[in-house]
Amino acid sequence: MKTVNLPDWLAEDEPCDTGSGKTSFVEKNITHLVRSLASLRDQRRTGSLPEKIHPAVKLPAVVLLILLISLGTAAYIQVMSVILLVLLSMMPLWLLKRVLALGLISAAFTLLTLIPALWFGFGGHIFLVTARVWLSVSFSSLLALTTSRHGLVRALKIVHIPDLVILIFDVTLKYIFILTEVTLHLFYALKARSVGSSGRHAVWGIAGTLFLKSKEMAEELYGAMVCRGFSGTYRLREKPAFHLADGLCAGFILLSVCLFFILK
Amino acid sequence: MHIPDNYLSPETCLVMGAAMVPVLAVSIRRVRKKVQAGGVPLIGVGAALSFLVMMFNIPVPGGTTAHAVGGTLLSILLGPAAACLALSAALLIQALFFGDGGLLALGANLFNMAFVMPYAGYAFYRMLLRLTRRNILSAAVASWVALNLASLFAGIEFGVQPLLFSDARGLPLYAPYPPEIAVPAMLIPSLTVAGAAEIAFTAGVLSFLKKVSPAMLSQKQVLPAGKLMVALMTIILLTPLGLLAAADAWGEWSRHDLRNALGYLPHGMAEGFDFHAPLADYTFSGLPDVIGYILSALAGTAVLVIVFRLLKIHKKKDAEQ
Repeated sequence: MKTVNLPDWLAEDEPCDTGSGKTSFVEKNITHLVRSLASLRDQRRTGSLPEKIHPAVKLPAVVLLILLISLGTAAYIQVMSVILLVLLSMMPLWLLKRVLALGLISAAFTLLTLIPALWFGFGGHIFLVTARVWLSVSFSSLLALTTSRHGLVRALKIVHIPDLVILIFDVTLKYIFILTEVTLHLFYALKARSVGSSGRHAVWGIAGTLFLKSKEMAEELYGAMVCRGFSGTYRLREKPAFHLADGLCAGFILLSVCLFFILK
Repeated sequence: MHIPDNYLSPETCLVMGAAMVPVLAVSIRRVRKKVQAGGVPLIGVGAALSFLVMMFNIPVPGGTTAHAVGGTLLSILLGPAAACLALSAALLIQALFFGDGGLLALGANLFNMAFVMPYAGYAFYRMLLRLTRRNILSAAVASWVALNLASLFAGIEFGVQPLLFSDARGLPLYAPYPPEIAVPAMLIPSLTVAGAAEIAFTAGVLSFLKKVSPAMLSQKQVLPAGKLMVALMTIILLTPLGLLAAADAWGEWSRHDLRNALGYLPHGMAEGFDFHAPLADYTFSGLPDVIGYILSALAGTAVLVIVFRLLKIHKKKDAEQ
């Protein structure tokens, strides 16, 4: 009969620590990763109006809005806040909830960081700055939550962003998803391997493996793209169709620009 | 009828605020038990409606103004507990964003307009309905009685201030007018102009609903969202009519006006709590008053609709548990 020698690492004793709650480190990471994967996969399409606006209209619109908000007077900020509130009150509930949460959290954080200014007597514009942050974050999260990844890449191409930037953006978005999945698998392996121990010691290993893995994948990806004839340029297959929502969005931007100059 | 800050002593505000805690708790519990998840946003629409109605100021002989509240109407449509919550939300937003009614005095304002008015209005309505069997007539009379009852309470709250709080020289510390002036001053506009507005508003909306959606009056069916939005938008566009009478209501003067009228400013008011609402008096800097009024109406309505739509989520979660 053939005998197999156990490798050294399998024969080592693993300290078993069950009671102190330290084991939850791996569990916590797994839950967190599963949650972020779920939110990455969660491309909800409910057919609401902001989803219908073409990304090529929406993206420059939001950039322009953020510019106007950062330059606008206090009166302009007040009027834009009312407009945002009215827009939000008509959004689908899931969108309303997430845009509101993102906007309010950033506004609260800004207010917190500005409190020292109040202390030193420079607090004159503290609420104006907070309102600007709230508006900018809300409008950009409206864009992010209602636009698919492909839509955004297409929009970047239409507004003549250099191909290299689009490539980096595209690959980044794609690989955030893939690498999160790889990390999740690494944590599953760590959980199976280290029964009872906290697994904290293996974090550097996970980070290192992730780095090696991503380097490998990047090379494979580049090879595959070159094999399929990718020459570094993105081409648009179809002409974007005009939708009523695009007209509404354009009208809204026009109104915002007019308001900006009226309230100057 | 919105009592501003510093007209009532902090002690009165505290007592009124404390009195509202159990009322709100009971109302929330009742709404949770009775109202379906789909009905919560309707409470928000009710709140928005009363918020808008309170923006229509009507001139009262003597140079002041008054407005309807819609408390009885809301309690007939939504039930008194839901109406109490809707009115509380509307009053809170008015105090926080528009400086209409004080923050410290919020408890007193809630007591008069969000507790006395809907609960008393509903009780009168049920009683009259049993006697007359005519719902619009009963609602109209009940709304008039409830508005006057709320005014009476506001008048008493103003009136007891000089009796309870005065300085060493005997000068009042807070609201300066005794009950024999404050109560009639509050009641006369309510008995006449504001009462008539409340009757017109309650009876008007009810007869409209009787025509459009009779089932709603028996709490079986909800008015379609589209029609509600059109109705709200129409009222929002009409709110600048409230500007035609822009004078301050009795008991809502600025410190400057009160000093001019009395020749001195009560000590407690001069050094009282000072809260600057971001959109005080429903105005936007650099914009005409009419636009400011419409924008304020839009903002208030949007905030109320958002808040009650978000509450719907929690309601659903409660139902799942």
